[in-house]
Amino acid sequence: MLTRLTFAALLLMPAAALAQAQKPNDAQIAHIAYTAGVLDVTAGKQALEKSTNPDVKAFASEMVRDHQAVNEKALALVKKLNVTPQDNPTSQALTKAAAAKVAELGKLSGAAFDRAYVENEVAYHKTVNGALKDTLIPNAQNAELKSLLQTGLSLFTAHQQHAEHLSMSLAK
Amino acid sequence: MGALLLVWATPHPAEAARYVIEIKNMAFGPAPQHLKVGDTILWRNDDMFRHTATAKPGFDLDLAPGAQGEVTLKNPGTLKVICRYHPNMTVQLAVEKE
Repeated sequence: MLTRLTFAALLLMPAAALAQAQKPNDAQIAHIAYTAGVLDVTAGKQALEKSTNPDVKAFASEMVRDHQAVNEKALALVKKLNVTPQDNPTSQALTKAAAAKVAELGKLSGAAFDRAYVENEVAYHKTVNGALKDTLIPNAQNAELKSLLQTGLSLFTAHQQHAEHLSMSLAK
Repeated sequence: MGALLLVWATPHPAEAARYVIEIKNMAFGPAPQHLKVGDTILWRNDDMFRHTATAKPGFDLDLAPGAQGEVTLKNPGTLKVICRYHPNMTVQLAVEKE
């Protein structure tokens, strides 16, 4: 079963790469997980610059802090395992979509920015959670990588809940 | 017949106990049983993320990875403790009178 994430990536891919994307290897999985974190840090930094809402800023700080923490562990792990994270169409699709969103959010300000940022965080975390559960965790071969991805899933789930609460309070 | 010496042991209040609750893998460790007013809890963050141990009203400890903080339980009742950053992280403490 293809997740939305993989589906989005597949739309951008030549047919030759299609078969491979359905079962990513550990190097690709590490790259995808790391990229997902980096993109949320970037989004969080934009929110810290643009938002004046203390709840949104607190949420954005949490995104930056938590994703930097897990990415630090991810970097240490790939170094220890002597694995070079491998760029792949899924990471590229995520990166492209995130860049478009940063540009779109860049044009907004005030409450409009806050709502759009948080709504996107809800959607983004849902997508990544789905990818972790359906693709990245089940396909991870290395036990330590799998364990770190499971921590990532707990984290992304908590972030999604926080984003959902925040989204509801901003809608008032 | 020798005098019998009767010693009555007078009941004395139990000494305050100290418990450790570990925070790890985005979760609080289990709530200690039979908590009493006057007991202390040491919250230890063994996770890679910054967390809080927050009970409103009560206490609000902000703990970086590796940090720890201690609270003394002052009132009987049920305390719901959450992490402010990750509100699905929660533990309930049932505190009995001394």
